[in-house]
Amino acid sequence: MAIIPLRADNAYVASGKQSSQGSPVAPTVFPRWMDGTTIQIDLTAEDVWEGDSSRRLSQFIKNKQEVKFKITHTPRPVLLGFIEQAAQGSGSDSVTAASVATTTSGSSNTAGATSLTLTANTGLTGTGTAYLMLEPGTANEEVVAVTTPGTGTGPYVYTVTTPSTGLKFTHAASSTVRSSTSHALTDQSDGNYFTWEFSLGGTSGLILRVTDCKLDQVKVSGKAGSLLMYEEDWVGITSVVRTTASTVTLEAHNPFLYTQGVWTLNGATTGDALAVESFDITRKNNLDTTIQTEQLIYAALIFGNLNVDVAANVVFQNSALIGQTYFGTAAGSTPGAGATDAQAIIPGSLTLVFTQADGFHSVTYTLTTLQYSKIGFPTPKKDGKHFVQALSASSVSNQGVNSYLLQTTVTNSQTTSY
Amino acid sequence: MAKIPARYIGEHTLKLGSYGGPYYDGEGNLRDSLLLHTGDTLMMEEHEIRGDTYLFDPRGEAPTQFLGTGRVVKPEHAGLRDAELAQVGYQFCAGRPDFQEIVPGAPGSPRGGVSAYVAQNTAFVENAAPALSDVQIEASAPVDVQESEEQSSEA
Repeated sequence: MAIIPLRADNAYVASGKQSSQGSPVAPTVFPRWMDGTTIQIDLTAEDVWEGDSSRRLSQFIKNKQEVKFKITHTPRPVLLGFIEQAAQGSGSDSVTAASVATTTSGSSNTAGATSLTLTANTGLTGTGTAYLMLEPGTANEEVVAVTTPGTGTGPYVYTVTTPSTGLKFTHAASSTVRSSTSHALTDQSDGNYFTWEFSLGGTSGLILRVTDCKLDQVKVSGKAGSLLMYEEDWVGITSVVRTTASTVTLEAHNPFLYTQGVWTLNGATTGDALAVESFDITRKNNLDTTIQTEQLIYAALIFGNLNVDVAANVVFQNSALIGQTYFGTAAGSTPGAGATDAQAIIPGSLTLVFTQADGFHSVTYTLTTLQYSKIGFPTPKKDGKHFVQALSASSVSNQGVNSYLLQTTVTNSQTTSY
Repeated sequence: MAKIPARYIGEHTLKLGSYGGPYYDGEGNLRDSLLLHTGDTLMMEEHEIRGDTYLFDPRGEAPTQFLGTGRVVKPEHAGLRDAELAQVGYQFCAGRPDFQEIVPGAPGSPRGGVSAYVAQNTAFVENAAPALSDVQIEASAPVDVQESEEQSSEA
């Protein structure tokens, strides 16, 4: 008997944002899935025991059916905003338009040129470095760093500092030049519905489109030397088998590296902030998966209570976190002689910024008020290696003062809101 | 399913799936790059551009019917409002919003111009190649679907 060769890597996952419940859309984003990605249809059933003078189970009926899936991937900058919007909720994206939106001037912007000539200087008058994308979306797309301010009174000339070899491509006059667009995403009361599609072995295997999905939980994580990872748990309402695969279109940008991260922990960029071996930030939307009416499937999914938790392993440097959590010591200070059990909770904070090498694409996670729930004491070991301190904390609204538990700010080339 | 020419109108360069090809541009020529830039054309599955219609049994007992690409309504349900159609079990799936169909013959494009309609969200292309003989196309857009060379998909 011939076996159909269906390789386990012959698969794609893809998604699109719906305009409303019950309105699926052909997928537009295709995360590069990694091991840990799974899909299953969960059914709830019951044994029906009926008295028929036997001891036999007479039948079995389905009570409910839902789709559950986990996506593990390393999102690129545009996709990352898409996922964040799904996690944070409907209307969560506050867009700040690019501060630089101009065009190239003249014919001197040739490959290898170490200066860039632009028609306008809006957004480029301060002293510093600006990161600009030239001809976004085209074959000539490139990101350069230029020194500001430039010279001239229009057109304006800027020195290209990165790449050091100058422009990679020749850009004709009037080509688009933009700085990044900023998307600040904060948690909202409910989320959008999304369509997801799964190809497992393609048309010979199974192609399943799942409609009305919401993000239940997302874990953002990283560890020394690795990539910024996203692990998402989704729940979907309806599924339908399709006979044709979608055209797979992948984002042509880079993922984020752990080495690109800059930590500000409890307001400091020194001490523990320089010693984080690994971290994860877990958000739980706690979907209400109890809304079932006349059908076998859910009638709706809604966001429930929000939890944002942080965990990290830090190379033990000092006892400041122990003092802060257990003895009421001020953040950043080590507990002095006589420090003892204290009722006071000294809040912390976290700002974590990943900026790609091009200076254009970045993501920032901001947690304004962190309450440490546990600071693990370093464990003595005879292995001769370093002490590790594990920390756990929850983000809180500070009794309603903060406007979010977690703000994710993504800078990329997407000019419209998610 | 037929493939039809479409133009990519998204903001970002995309990379086509490595094993999804061969890929053809809107004129049917073999593409030699997997990078898809804004404005590039590509032959795509009709349903990816125009969307499609399914009819579910809300009780989950009768088999789901695929009614065809585009927005398709059976004669017995003609005249129902969207909310009523949804109650009957219609599901109208939109096409990709980052692609526009190219209508052959229209001026200003290799094969014609970009159609005025974008298959996105609720703005369905009301044109279809119905799968069932008893369906009624609610409205018809003058789209001349080009048959392309058979392409294997990502699967």
